[in-house]
Amino acid sequence: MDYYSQVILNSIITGGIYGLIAVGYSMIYSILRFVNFSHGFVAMMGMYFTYALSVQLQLPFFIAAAGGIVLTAFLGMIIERVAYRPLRFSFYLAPLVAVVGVAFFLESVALMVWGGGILSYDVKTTSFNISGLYITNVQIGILITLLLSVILLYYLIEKTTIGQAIRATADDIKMASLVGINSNRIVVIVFMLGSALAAVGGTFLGLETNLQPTIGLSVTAKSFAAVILGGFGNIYGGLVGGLVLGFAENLGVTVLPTVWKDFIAFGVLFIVIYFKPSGLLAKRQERGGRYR
Amino acid sequence: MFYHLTILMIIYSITCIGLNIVVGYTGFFSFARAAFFGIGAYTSALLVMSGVPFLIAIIAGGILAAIFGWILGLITVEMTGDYFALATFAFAEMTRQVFINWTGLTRGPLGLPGIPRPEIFGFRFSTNQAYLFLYIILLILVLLITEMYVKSPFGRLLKTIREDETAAQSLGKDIAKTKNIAIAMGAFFGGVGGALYAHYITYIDPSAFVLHITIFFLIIVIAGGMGNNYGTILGAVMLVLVRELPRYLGLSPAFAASLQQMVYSSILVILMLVRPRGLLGERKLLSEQSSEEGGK
Amino acid sequence: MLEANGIEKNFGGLKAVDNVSIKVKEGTIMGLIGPNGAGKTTFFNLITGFLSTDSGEIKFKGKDITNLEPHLISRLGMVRTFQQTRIFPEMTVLENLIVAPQDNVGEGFFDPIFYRKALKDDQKEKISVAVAILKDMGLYDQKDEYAKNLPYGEQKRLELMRAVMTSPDILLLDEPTAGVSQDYTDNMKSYIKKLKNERGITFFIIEHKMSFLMDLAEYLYVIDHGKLIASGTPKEIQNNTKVINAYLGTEG
Repeated sequence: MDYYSQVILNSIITGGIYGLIAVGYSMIYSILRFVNFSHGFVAMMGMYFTYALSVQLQLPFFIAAAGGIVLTAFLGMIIERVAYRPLRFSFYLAPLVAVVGVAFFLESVALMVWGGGILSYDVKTTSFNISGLYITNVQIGILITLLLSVILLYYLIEKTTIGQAIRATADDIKMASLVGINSNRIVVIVFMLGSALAAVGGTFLGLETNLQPTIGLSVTAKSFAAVILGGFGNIYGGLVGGLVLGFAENLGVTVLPTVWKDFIAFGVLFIVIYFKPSGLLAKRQERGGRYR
Repeated sequence: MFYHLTILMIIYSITCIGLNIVVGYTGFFSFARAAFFGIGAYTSALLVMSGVPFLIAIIAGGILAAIFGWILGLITVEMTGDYFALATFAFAEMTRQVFINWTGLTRGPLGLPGIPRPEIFGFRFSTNQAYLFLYIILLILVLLITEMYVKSPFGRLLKTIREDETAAQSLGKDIAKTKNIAIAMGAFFGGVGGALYAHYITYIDPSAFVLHITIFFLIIVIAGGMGNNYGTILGAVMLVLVRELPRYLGLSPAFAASLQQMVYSSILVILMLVRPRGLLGERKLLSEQSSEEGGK
Repeated sequence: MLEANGIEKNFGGLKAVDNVSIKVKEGTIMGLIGPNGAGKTTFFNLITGFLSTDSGEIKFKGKDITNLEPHLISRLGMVRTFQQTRIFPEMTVLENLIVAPQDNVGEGFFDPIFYRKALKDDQKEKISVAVAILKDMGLYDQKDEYAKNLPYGEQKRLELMRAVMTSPDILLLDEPTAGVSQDYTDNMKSYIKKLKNERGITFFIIEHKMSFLMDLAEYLYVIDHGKLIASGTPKEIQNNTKVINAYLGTEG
């Protein structure tokens, strides 16, 4: 029993991190129907920005993390400006290919600046034993910040005018521009917000495990899986999907040999896509829409 | 160096001509290329190492890849663009995990060293010149076969899938079957390309079949111009130069590796901004006169 | 020729098509009219297999075709066009037509290898058929133009020609004049008459504009809110109070 409550706790932490990254991703997807391949790589950059500020510049960790998040938000803005906006009405594959380029560009930058080796944050961890459950101070911090981020996001999306505009744009981007919402501005905000969330998640990932420049790809894949699991068209879908994914991963390791862990993760992804394809009707509209 | 680069260009051209059938003509963004490349490489290498003749082995590698392509096609038949891309990506990663973990067959991360060089009817292609000669012939063969298909009514049918599946169905076309054939054909050339790669490099391990190589192949097709086989060859020439030349600049291997990745990812972004449809566009293959002349 | 009995379709509790039955006689032009959102296109999607029915039976040439796959229905000789025109944009006008015939040689995997001669002869023949249609119905001068570069009205005409290339027994047209000018509308009317007289094609046409079908169709069905509310000759329909109310109710 204790063993499983420990697994559940770990699942909530990993799942929450995935969920937070995935929310940023599903926001961009629900507004633009655009697969932002670079999202996981942006999270990776957020992770390293925090590292640069906290370890290399010796700033206190919380200030460094906040700085990392702000820097990543601006990175999101730059990506939107350079690789997405000019291609929005171009050949339908062009934006996707361009963000693939951006993703690998970011990875090569990280490899050049921070090297291919494994790094870690300089944070002291102490472990507590709460009635048989092991939890570290870092994990408690993560849980609290996760909760705060979700509440903040909820407030931003549901209660503010900007959130209202984002929701309207997600419902129907054309309609939103007709009623006077500046859709370009919303797209930039969403890119920045999504990237900031990715940076929070990336920093947490760095705290929970370690820092590697090559994790971008698997983070992208996992956020996409989370968004599919949670359901498209809903900004919070990614959060739910991320939690499900966290549970699947942690529970999977308890039953199956560890070497096949990645195989299982991608197998689950494959099965999910198979049983939740968007359906024939959606395809027709989508393909028609690309050309016109 | 000249021979080495040219041989790589040819191997990648063959692989990407197959990919072009799926991406350029049929209009599906497939991320499974590394898997087919790897299946072909491992199959052919293992067969030749257990005594099977080279030509039979590379064809077997292609066929096994095609069978996997066919199965993948059956599963993904109803998926839309984004889902198809992700499903093929998941498939590729699963395949790579099998390469890593099925150590009894593939020796896992240790890789397969000492893969024999090609031998046809007792003649061993051991020098790079002989290699180049053999691979050029194979490239011409692949190009002829593909061009024949692309120009035929079959190729036109592929394009209707890319353009508008629903409309093609309304005309009575069996879209599911045709799409499946296209994926299997693409996988076949991917497998053959992988086999040729294995017999040239003579060493393979799972790290040669990661997503980065798939992306590299996709960039070749897109940069050269989708739906144009000559564009694909041009793309292969260009991208091999971009990717391999930094290695000859005397930089440290790790730095050179990230530098080349940086260069070609920037080229990709710039290319999309300047020429979103690639360097060479699609050709108009049919006109009233040319077809009448062709028919005579 | 075409018979549908008690067709029903629900979209999440909403009855899009509710117990509709129709009969299309061979060699006629029949119409299906109704206000916007009445379920006309849904009904077409059901007959042609692009949507599956919840209940009801569809018969074509005496054969049960309920819920058959769309390409198989098309192969039986029932071909449709779409309200939002679906041409192949990145293919030339001629290619759009050549690809359509259902007896094309060379569309199978082994054909380009084993039937090289037959393939070439067949292509030549199909090109001449296509050229004849292009000369007959216009667009010959634009034959090597990409279809996406044509004006919208001509794209609609191309879609119709492409459907004709399949040598259908019956053509189902979904709003052939939606969004085009009066000139095109008049042209379209004469094409349809011509196709019916010269090729013996039966027509079943959806229209929102009643006037288009008034002197074209021999018999009309009217649906509103998914239900069949009237049927009869155009004259009868014109004076039917139910129909007038349905149109006034949604547009007034």
